[in-house]
Amino acid sequence: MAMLRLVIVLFIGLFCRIDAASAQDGRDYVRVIGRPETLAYAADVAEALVRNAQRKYPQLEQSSDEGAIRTFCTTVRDTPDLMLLPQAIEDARPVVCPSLEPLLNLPIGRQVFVVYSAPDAPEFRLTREILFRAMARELPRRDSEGALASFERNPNLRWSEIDPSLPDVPIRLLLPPRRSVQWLAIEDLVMRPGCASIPAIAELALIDQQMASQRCLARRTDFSLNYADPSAASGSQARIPKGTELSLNELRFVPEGMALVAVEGTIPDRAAIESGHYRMARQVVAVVKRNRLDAIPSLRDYLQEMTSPAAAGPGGYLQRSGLDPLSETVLRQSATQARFAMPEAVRRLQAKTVGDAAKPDAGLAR
Amino acid sequence: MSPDGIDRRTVLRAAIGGALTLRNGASRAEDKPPEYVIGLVGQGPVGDAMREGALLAVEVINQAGGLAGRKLRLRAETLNPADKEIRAQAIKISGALMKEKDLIAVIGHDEMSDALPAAIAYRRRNVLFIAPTITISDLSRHGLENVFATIPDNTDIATQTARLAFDIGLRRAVVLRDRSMEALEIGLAFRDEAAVLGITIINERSFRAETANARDVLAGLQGLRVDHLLIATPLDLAVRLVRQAGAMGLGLTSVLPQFTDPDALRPQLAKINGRILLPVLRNRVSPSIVQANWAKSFETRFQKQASDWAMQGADAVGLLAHAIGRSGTVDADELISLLRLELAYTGIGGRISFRRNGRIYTRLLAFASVRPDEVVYYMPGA
Repeated sequence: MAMLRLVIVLFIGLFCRIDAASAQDGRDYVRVIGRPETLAYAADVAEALVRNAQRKYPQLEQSSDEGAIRTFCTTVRDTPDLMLLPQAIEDARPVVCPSLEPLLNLPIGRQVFVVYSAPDAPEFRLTREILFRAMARELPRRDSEGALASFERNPNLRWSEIDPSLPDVPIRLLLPPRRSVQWLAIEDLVMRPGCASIPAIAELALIDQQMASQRCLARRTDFSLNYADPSAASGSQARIPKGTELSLNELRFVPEGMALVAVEGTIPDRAAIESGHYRMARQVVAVVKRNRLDAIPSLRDYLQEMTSPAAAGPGGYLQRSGLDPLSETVLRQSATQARFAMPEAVRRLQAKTVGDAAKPDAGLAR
Repeated sequence: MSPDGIDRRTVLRAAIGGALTLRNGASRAEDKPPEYVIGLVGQGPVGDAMREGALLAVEVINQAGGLAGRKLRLRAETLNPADKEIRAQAIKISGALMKEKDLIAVIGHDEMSDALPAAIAYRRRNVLFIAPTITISDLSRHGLENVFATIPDNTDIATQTARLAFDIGLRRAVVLRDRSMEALEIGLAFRDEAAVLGITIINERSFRAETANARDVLAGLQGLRVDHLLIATPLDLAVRLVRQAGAMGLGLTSVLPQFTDPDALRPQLAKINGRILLPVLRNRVSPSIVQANWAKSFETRFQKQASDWAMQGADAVGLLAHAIGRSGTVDADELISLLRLELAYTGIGGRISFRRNGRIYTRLLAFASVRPDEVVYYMPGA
């Protein structure tokens, strides 16, 4: 009887493989879609795989959050196998396609942005709203309120003009290159939440989302903001703030000896980042179509490489590209799923055979 | 002893030494293996640029010792676009190239009309054909195993263009296309992607490119709520349409899914309210380090700026060299198998792997936003 069940499981597994493969029209490479700021990780993993074995590159495609999800989830033609999506840590929910195609959501790392200053700089206590008020091109006039508030050019030239408790020094912010992918993350982590906490813009968003979004993302063009040179190698983005200057950039670019600035009352140390209390961080999730894991050549290898300690662990090559490592436990869970997850039909049948439908793949593997 | 201190023995020694040197030199020349030949067929400025890019790549490879101990030689041929018998010309030139004993591949043939007959001829002789400029999908649909296209096809270009349009907030499109096969491909692929993303195609118009009047094509668009035009037609007509849209007060974004030089396009726009979005093969303002170094070498060698087509020519040679280096042979069947099934090569323009039909699928396009007074690039993240 057990033998018969095994044969059925294998048969269904083979069927799923054929079914998924035919849906992808005999494709012999992996398709990955993601937001531009996550594609560097996908590219690094691809390079590592190609270095280690003779195989084709994956196809990397990029789009916005919404565009990536629509492309990933459509059922009308061949679609990407894997999607890389940044998610706010406090709002991390598994991605579900409308077609209810079985998906695996595997966290692989974090993007962390920090504000830092020279060690002898005065103490700043920042919030995302303060940072937005320092960087915005236009702000609501102080004497107008509500959705119909009129806007004026950002009048804040000194930090103390934004909040009297801040040092009375000119606003000088050193930032990533003007059109770099880091800005997409800064928009999500700083500009949008900072902007949404201003009542006039929050009310505007209720009646004109597009206009509110424009207000939220437009940056001032005067001398308060200084951008790193895009033609410089990425390492030299780590411009060292001097005097009362502040710098906002990825954690990986913070030079030795700089002082990290608290945002929303939290210093971005390891404990605060891992607990999710530090707000200028978000996790990156690899969403993969479960039924394609063994049908698309190299997909499982790709996912295993992406969740391996050599890639996503501390000191891994993805950390050099800006992906802050997750705790060992979380990464190990992702790696186990990447290694042992099965097509949905096989998983269900096997779970039924074992008598525990709720048991996860990782449990079965053990 | 002679008066100047050179005795007869010394002279004799020198003569014998010289003769031996000459003999060794002669025997080295006899042993020198023949060069591998790469053919290149082009026409007009695109062909010239491709030839220069390929030539620089060949020179670099030869300076590094060649391939498997043999040097490369580029044999460049030019098609005359004024001659209407382009097909006959292509066959004649491909015939001449195939007389080269050590021909390993041919690069070029910019137009579908000459590429296809030439590709068939190369297939018969089992010669690889690399097409760095042809975007028509049809090239990869004839089952010609020797054909490899290193530029995305129209479907891929239109798909990536639709995604960019969606990502920057454009939601309502009008498709304007001529009645060529190429424009139809672009229109259909854009429509497909628009359906997936939720871009509404408000209207679609087709016209004869030779006789189209820009005012007639755009008539009635003022009344529609539209935020962008997809214009699939040759560049000169596309520019006329953009300018006419500007004259009609339509401050729209015009999307031109074709490769052209943004800096050359900018002065042609006169005063328009909107902007043009077009795909580009590299960002000239902030190129990658590899691209910057290559562009510098190109400028030193040819005393002029490198174009994207020169980069395509260089990458075609680099790709061949990589494949030969990896397989250790110039046997066409081995190379075809490698290129189709497992090649992963990073050239100046980016990563290259091919679908089983021989079309590149790895090129993530950058886009240029062109206004009369500025060109801004949207770069891919990887």
